[in-house]
Amino acid sequence: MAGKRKLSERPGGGSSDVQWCFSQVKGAMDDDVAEADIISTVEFNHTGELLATGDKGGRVVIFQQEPESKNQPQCRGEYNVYSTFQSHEPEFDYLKSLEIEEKINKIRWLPQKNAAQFLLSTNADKTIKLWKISERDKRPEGYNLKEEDGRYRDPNSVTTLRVPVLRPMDLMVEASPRRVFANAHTYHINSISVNSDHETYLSADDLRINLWHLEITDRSFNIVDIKPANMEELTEVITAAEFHPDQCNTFVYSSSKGTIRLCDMRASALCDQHAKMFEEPEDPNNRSFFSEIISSISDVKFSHSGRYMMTRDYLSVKIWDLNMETRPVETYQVHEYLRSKLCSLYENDCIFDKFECCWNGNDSVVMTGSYNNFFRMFDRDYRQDVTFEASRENSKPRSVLKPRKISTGGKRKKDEISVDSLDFNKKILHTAWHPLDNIIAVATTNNLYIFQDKLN
Amino acid sequence: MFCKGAKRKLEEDEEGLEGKALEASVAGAGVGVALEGLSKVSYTLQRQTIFNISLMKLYSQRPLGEPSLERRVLINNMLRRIQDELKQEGSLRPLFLPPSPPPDDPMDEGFREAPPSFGILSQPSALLMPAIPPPPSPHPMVLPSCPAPQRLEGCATPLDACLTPASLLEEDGGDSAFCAPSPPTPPLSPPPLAPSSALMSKLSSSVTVLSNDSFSSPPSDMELAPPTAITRTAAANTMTITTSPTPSPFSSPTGSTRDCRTMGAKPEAAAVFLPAHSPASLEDISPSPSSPSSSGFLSDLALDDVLFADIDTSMYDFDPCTTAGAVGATAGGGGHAKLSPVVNADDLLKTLTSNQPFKIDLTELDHIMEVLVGS
Repeated sequence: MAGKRKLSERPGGGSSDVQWCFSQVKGAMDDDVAEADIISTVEFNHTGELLATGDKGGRVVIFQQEPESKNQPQCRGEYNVYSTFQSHEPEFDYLKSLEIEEKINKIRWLPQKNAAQFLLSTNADKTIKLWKISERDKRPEGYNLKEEDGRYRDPNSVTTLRVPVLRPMDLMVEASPRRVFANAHTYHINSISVNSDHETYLSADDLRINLWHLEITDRSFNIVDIKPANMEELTEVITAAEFHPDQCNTFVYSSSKGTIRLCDMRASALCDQHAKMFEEPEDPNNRSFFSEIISSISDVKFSHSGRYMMTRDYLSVKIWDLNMETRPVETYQVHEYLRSKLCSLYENDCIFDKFECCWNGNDSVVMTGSYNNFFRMFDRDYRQDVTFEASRENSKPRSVLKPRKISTGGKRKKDEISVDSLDFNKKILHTAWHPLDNIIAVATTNNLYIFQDKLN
Repeated sequence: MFCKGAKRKLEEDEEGLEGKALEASVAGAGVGVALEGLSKVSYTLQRQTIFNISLMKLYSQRPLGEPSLERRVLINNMLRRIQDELKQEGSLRPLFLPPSPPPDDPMDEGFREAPPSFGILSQPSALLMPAIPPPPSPHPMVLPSCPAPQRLEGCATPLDACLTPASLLEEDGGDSAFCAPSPPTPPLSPPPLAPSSALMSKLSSSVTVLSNDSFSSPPSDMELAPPTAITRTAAANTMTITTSPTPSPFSSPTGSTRDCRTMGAKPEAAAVFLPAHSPASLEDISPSPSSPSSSGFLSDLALDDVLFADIDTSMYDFDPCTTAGAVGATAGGGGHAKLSPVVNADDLLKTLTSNQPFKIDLTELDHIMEVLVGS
């Protein structure tokens, strides 16, 4: 099984002794990015063996990690394409149309129950699909009523009977849609989350959260509804939602005003009344016209332990203890140097970019993306942070990533990058961390980078 | 281009004010006053800039579809905050306060008081407000900028009053009485005073940001959808409406229906505004009362006629009881025709003029017209 080396076995485990190396990059090399190729979601499955990406063209590409080879036991296996399928059909030719309705917004893997893998994908046309990805490496031969090419034989010509046998064939990976959950959302879906009961999942749009059963497609239950009676009074929307990793009755949802509400489904059918509300009071020294916008939470993720949750707003990452609602226990500045540029970022819409964040397997390090193809890691134990860049220039196999520095003051040291030369079109919105190992997947606009820590 | 027009005016004043501020400092009032002057100017300039940007964002057609509700809500909230601030400041304008304002952080939104030398400053911003054309948008999401009748800034005006534009046309006294708290308004949440060094750094950083920004976008990008600019002159207590033909349809039919569907549009609002945005341009400015009953007390209100000139008025039953679910429909009495559109148009007006009379030169109107038409 891939990923034998567990995080807990490594000394330290934090970023103090970890050296990150380039492993692979997937995607086109040219700079001219087709809109349809823009990666919109990245997700490891529960073992880390599979890595799924979705793009704006509605395609899902799944990579599988090769088993560790016996020749090089110290090397982790590479990720290679395992399956590719079109999850959602575009309504128009995406090269010509103005609407890109087929963009995959989120992919979530289901825990594996049998040989097949299942994942949920959602897209902007407000449907959710359950896909079964199964392998086929045998095929039956020797039918009585059918020729080998599938044509039916004339029954009169059948003179003997035989039992069909299974013969090996080249591995074929099939993806088939097993369920389509539709017609429950009026607004764009921003989140899906599988419950720890493995039977239900939630889907959230701007104003509502619905609860589904994986087996039932024609009915969902609305559990949160913040739509005001008068849409003119709308001032807040839901931005993300997630189930608790262990407690199947608990979920959280974040808002555009920087609040997170924790709800208990046992309390009532409609969870408009929150059980807890997490909100940090505004820092009066940092008040500006853009305070509300930069407080809007773009992602919320529970820790694997279930004790903490992490939120990402425009400038920072915050770690919350579920037992304390008044303020986060940790706050990490992702790119504080942008605070003085908020007006420009508002004008060019960058201030509305939705960055995601993720935990490592043992919740000791968190990661999130930034601009200029930078991504940041924050080690909670060692109180260190580091900035790396995902670029083709650093893509020699196993080359160690060099930490980057951004110069904010007047003097720019060598190798530092000044804030004014940052490329705001190169944004890393989606990152994922292998659940059991130090392997990370980082998506630039249309490329997927895989980095891993250096082994000895 | 519209943005540039706004800035030009401000810059003139800004130079004047900065000059005055510097003079004051030279006169011995100290650097503090100059700093305050600059910071106030900078704050107001940035606020106005952000206001303009926000309007452009909301009402210009995005080349790529997929409108984001969150983005619109956030921009709307921004506009509302600035509008509220301007409203409160605008109501303070007539009062000349002693020239010793608290040296608040210029970024403090609670900053209200203005020394006399800066009394002028609020004028351009106030003047510019109605100059910004308010779009009757096809999707009700825009309507948040038009307060629902309930949302009259805490006043107790009954719904009836909202339905009667006469209340809007009343003099300032009546309006400001229920629209703004009594001046001088203490800052809502007075923040701690920022040390002057922090003030300077913030000032310089914010000014730097502004100077580095290039707001000029090619006119072709600025498809200002709103076809209507609503202005008021206090003296005549009439409403002059300038309209411009929409350079292109506000949104493609599929786009607007999609918006409406996505927004969960209220059918009546959609019904009202979609026809208003038919590609036919509203060129007829001269008021022609479209409904005799509404023109009774709306004699000065040419807005209604112009906005909905191309609406098939036969769909409006003059019986107030049949008006579809409009707020305050029950308040109808006296043969109010077109309750829904009247309310919405009034809301537009109410928001964007902040119940203050403004004088706008005809020349400036012409200029705005030209900008909107894109000539």
